[in-house]
Amino acid sequence: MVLEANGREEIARRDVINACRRGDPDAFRALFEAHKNRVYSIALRYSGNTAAAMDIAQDTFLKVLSQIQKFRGDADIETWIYRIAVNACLDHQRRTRRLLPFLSELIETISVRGESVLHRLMRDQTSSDVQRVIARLPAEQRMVVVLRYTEGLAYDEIARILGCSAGTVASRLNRAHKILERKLSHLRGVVGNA
Amino acid sequence: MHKGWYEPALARELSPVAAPDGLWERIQNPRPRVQRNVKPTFLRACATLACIAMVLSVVLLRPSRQEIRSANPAEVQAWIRTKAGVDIPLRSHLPAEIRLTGARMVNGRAEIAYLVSGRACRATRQPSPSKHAFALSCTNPSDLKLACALCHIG
Repeated sequence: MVLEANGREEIARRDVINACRRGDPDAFRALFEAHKNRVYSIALRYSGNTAAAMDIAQDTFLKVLSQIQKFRGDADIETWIYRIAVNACLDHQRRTRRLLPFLSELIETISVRGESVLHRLMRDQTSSDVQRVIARLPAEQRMVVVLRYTEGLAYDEIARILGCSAGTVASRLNRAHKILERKLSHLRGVVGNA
Repeated sequence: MHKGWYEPALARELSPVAAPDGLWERIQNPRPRVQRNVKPTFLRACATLACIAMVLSVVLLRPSRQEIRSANPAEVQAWIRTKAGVDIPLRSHLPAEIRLTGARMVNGRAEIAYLVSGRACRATRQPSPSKHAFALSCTNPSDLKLACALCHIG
C-alpha cells in the first residue's frame, strides 16, 4: 500500500514537472507551493535577513522557472531545487557584503511591524548570540549547518545538493560544531533553559 | 552525529519557517533587489579613487620643501646654489649676534633661516629684477635691520 502510494505520488510529481516544462502556470504554482517553505527557510536561515531571504527565494524560483526545461530528472526535483537555492544564497552573499551589520540589524529591528522596538531589543540574548555565531561561520560550513538543522537532511542528501562527498559534509559539520561550541561556551548551562 | 550541548538552541534558531504570502507575488512580478548594502564593486571603485586622490595630493599638491640644517655659511650658500641656481654671497664670518641655522626651498624659493640673539628670523629670496631681494620675517621686528649683515659688512 505504501509503495503504491509512493508510486502515485511520483507519477503526480512527474506530471507536475512535465506540465511546468510545457509552461503550464498552474503546474508551476503547484511546484512553488510544494517547495516555497523549504526554499524560504534555507534563504532566511542562511542570510539571517528577511529582505535578503525574499530576494534569494525570488531568484531561486525564477531560476527554477527558466531552467525547468533543462531538468533531466537525473536527481530528485527536491535536490535540484535545493541546489538552486544554495547557489542563490551563495550568489547573494557574493553580491552583497554586509558592511554595517549593526546598522542593518537596527534597521531590521525598527522596521518589524507589530512588535515594540524595546521588546525586540530585549529579546533573549541567547538567540542573538547563536544567530551571530551562525552568521559568521564560513559560507560552506554555514550552508551545511542550515541544511542539516533547518531541513533535517541526511549527510548523503546534503552531499548530493552541494556536489561533494558525505565525508566532506561530515568534516564541514564537525568544524562548524567546534566553532559553535567554542564561541557559544559562555552560554553553557543557559542554552537548555533559553 | 555530534551532539553538542548547544544543539537545542541551534535547532530552535534554525527551525524552518513559512514563506511569506507575498513571495508568490514577488515571483510573478519580480522587482529589483532592495539595495540595502553597498556593492563591493562600487566600494572598490571608491577606494581606488580615494587612493589615487591621496597619492595625487601628496605628490602634486605638496609644497616642494627641501631643507638643510647648517650653521656653516659656505655650506648653506653652496646648497642654495645647487637647489635654486642662485648665488647668495653669505658672509663667511657673521656678527656675533647672528647665527645661521640653515636654509630650505619653499615653492622654488630659497629661504635662509637664522637667529638674532636667539630669536628666529627668515629671509626668503623673492623673484626680482634686482640681483637679490628678500622678504624678511623676524620674531622681533627690531631684528629685521640685521638681515643685511648676512651678506654685507656694516
